[in-house]
Amino acid sequence: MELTVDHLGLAIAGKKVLQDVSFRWQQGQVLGLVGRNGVGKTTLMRTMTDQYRAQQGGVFLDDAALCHHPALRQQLLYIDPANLFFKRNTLAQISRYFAETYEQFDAGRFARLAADHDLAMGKQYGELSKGYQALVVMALDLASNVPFVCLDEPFDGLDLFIREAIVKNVIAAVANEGRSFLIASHDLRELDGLADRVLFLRNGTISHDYELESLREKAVKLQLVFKDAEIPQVVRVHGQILNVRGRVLEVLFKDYDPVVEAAVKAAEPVLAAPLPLELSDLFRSEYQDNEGERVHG
Amino acid sequence: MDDQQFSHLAYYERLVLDVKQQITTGILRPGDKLPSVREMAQQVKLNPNTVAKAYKQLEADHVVEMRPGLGSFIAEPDDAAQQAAANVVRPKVEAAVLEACAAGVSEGTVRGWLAQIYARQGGQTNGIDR
Amino acid sequence: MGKMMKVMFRRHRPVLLLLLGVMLVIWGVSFAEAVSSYHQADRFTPITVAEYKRDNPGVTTAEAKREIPKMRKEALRYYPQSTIDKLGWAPTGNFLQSVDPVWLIAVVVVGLICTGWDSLSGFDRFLFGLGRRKDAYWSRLTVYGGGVALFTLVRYALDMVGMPLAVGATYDEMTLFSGVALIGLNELYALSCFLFAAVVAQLFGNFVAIVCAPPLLLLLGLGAFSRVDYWLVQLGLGAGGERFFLYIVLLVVCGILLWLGQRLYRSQSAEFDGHFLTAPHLYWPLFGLSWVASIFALLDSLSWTRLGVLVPLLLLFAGIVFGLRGRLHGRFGRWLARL
Repeated sequence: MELTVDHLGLAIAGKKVLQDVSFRWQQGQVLGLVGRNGVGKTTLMRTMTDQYRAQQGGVFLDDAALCHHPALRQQLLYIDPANLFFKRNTLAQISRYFAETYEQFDAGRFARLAADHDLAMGKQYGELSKGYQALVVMALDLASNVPFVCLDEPFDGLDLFIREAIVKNVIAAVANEGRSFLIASHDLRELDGLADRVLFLRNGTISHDYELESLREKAVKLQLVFKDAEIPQVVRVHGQILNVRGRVLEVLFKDYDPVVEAAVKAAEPVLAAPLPLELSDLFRSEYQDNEGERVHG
Repeated sequence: MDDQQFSHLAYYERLVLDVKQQITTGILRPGDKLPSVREMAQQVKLNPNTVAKAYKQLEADHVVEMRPGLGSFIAEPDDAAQQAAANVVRPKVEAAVLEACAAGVSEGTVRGWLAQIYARQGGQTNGIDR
Repeated sequence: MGKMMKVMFRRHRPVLLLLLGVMLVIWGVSFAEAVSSYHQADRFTPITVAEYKRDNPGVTTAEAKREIPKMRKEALRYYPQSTIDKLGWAPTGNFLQSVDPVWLIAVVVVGLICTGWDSLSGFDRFLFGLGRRKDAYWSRLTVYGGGVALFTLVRYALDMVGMPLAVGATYDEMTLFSGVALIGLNELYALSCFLFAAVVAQLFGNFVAIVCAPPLLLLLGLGAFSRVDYWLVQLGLGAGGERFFLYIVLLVVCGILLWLGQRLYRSQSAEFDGHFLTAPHLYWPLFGLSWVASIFALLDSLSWTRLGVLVPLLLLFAGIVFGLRGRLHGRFGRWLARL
């Protein structure tokens, strides 16, 4: 099964929030969705699940347009943390709502997951602490048995153990059940190891779609110090300066082939040490232009 | 996995090296069963697809063999495979030595480095002396 | 659709129960007062054959037995004189009863609130995510429409049957009391107003419904209806048939509005911004016009002593202010949000 988002566009109050968003999402993939605050990550998820009617484009499940086959929306789940309808319901009531609407929902599994965290089914959702609320949402996502799940900031403001629990749940769901996740998050460290691909949302469109492992095979982040203050051409053309600390440059080379490598050596750096390439580096490279100015949206 | 010198590699490459290192240091012996993809993913907190890629690489390198229905096991040292691997590694070592010479590093220093590296690996190796 | 009904019913059950409870209380008070009014009126009506014969010499027993129920029915003209009904204005002649304005206001307001409070809410978004926009709309209308219809039928039945029983009418008299064989058109009209309110509420969520629809509905339900009815009477269309036709036309219009509402509801995004019907430059004239029209209608038919109607109107106004806060864009909206 493959979910395709095709040229999705949406304007709110006259402002174009989503311009031309397209990407493919295979089953069993974990996609990260990354961007500056307010760029439209949540809007994208809401548009994908028809909470906002897309004005252009559409979402397809294996060539079937979801707007023409609304029953297929059962295969996509997004619990919007800003618009929860069940804040005043107990866990048992929530389970019932989901069981009656999502055909594949497994109420028994939800009960077991709640029990694992010592949550009584009679507890009201709104009375739980933030961490437990996040676990309940995760439990609903898992028990729904829906193949494509959208998570919106699942790590936001949670303690280490709860974050680990969520990561563990995602990994298990992908490995055991072939579930797929689209995770919008600012927690780049968690996404780093978890995501197969990361989508960068910028100016209402997906500006980059990195397959992390492939990128890590080709790309390199180097700590460079040169004899002169002048920045060598190879760095300016093939690399992107992420950070400058005095004479020390942190440069990202997205395609560090032997030619580039030779050119760097030819520039005779005083220091050239490889550094681990993290998602935050890619984030910096995306939203920061070469003069070091931070870019919004 | 956390070794600084490998930190710039892709996660799956690091995992491959990690397993290979565990074999050379004797932590993993031929016939030992590797954790399943799921278990390994949980242990190292990585995407299962990344772990699956690492396992595929290990299999391609004849380090690990897949027994259907049973799992992944450390392979017996295979002479032919090891010879092939050695043939790949040798030019790399030659290149490194050449570079050292070009950089003006003396042979003694290089030998000293080798001693340190081997000391760090520790334990016995499964290698064949060529 | 059946499953959606179940889910919608469970979601709205507490509100429905509250609604029915309030309506039962209102009706209960009204009924008690009607019975007591009847008993008061009854003192002037002979109830025994002997008394009737005494007042009308030369009448046979059989005639007496026929006439007594008629006289008692005549006395029933006084019966819907409960405190609530005394507030009524614009009587529509004697087709069945006068239009009960407070009942209409109550039903409309409740309709708006009940169907509006959850429209375009988190629950709706949840249903949209399941691809069930259409079902959400119809199931909500059905649940509330069903509740109101049920209550309306019960009220009608109790009025037509319970009232006679409560005042001790004989079996023969009950047929006279029952009058028309149709369901009380008053109640039917109330139901259609309710459904209209519900449609509007669902289209826009509670806030626009509270703002825009009530004045329109007041106009429709009270002023315009009775005015048009009055004109029909003036034109000589006094008999039941023509005015009955008017009511049927009203129902058809409501049906069309329901269908139209459903189409609009489905086409709309959960964030109503950008939809032409809620665009500010269309919204303010509509809003202004409806209020101006309804004020005229009220002044036309209301004398300044009818303070009883002001209470629900004040509630509506408060609802408007409250509902508007934080929902509008532009300078006025921001000012309102700071109140």
